[in-house]
Amino acid sequence: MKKTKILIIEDELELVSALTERLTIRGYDTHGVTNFTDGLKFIKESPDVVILDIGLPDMDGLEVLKKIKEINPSIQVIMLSGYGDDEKVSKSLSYGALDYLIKPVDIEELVSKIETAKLKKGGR
Amino acid sequence: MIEKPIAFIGKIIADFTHEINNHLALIKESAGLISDICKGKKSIDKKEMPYVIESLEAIENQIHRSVNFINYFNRFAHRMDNLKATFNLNSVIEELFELLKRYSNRKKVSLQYSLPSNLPEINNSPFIVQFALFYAIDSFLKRSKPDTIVNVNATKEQNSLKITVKYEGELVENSPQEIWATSTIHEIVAITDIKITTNDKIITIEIPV
Repeated sequence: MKKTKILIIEDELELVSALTERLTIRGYDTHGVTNFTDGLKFIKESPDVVILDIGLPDMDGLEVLKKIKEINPSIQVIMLSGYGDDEKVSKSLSYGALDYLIKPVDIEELVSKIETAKLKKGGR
Repeated sequence: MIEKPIAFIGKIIADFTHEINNHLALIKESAGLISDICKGKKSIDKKEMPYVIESLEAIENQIHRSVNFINYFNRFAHRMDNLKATFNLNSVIEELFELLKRYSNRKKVSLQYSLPSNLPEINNSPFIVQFALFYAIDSFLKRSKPDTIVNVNATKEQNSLKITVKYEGELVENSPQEIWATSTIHEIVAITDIKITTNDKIITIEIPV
């Protein structure tokens, strides 16, 4: 069975590494990058789900979300945010993000959202 | 008038909590990864050992980073204990820069300072001095372009210490964000006889000594 392809875009390198490894252990084909520029080449490979930090160093998370949806609207995006990003979170949902999680994330909750995203993508 | 210092404190607290939250997220994921690897095992495979060691090191580094950051924040909080205290400029700048790192990094602006070693100690409100510095830095950051510099220098004048906050680079022409009303800032800092002079890319703060 084809593994679900996941791309994590989050600016903290060590957090990306740990999350990537944890999702890989759970059977996902996971790539992690720390900025949008690096993420772009993976986005072109059409991942099923992108886990996207709302605040990135090279481009605002909302702008990245718009770009991803322009490139491929079928990619499901789960936003990662901190407390106090409420306005950005609600904007991201209106721009087409599937859902969001507040950091620090619970891995099982993240997996559950990835599974929902997979179903949604499959049902398109 | 009180809204400006409150906004300053709010900015510092918001960035602090955001940063600490990021530190905790990394600690949680690193600990989680060790737990994932070890679950249901009596011993750890040799090939998995690097992940375990890497994660433990990440936890240790992150805790160290958090403790440092919390110490800066704690010192900042104690700056408000008294309206007057004796302090050196170096310590208040170092602390403020550390707490504004997230803000300046997001703007891709480098905060730099170089102070001569013979500056006298200041007897004034460290909070108001930090507030004045924040006002100056924030005025530039709000209109800054990426890959620019905000540089802080200081010199000893006859009866004062003169701090120069200089923006190096191009400024955004029409900033959509509110720039603080200069008169309000002047009124606040005047409480402790501090004077501010504003030019296009240079803000000067004069503290009596």
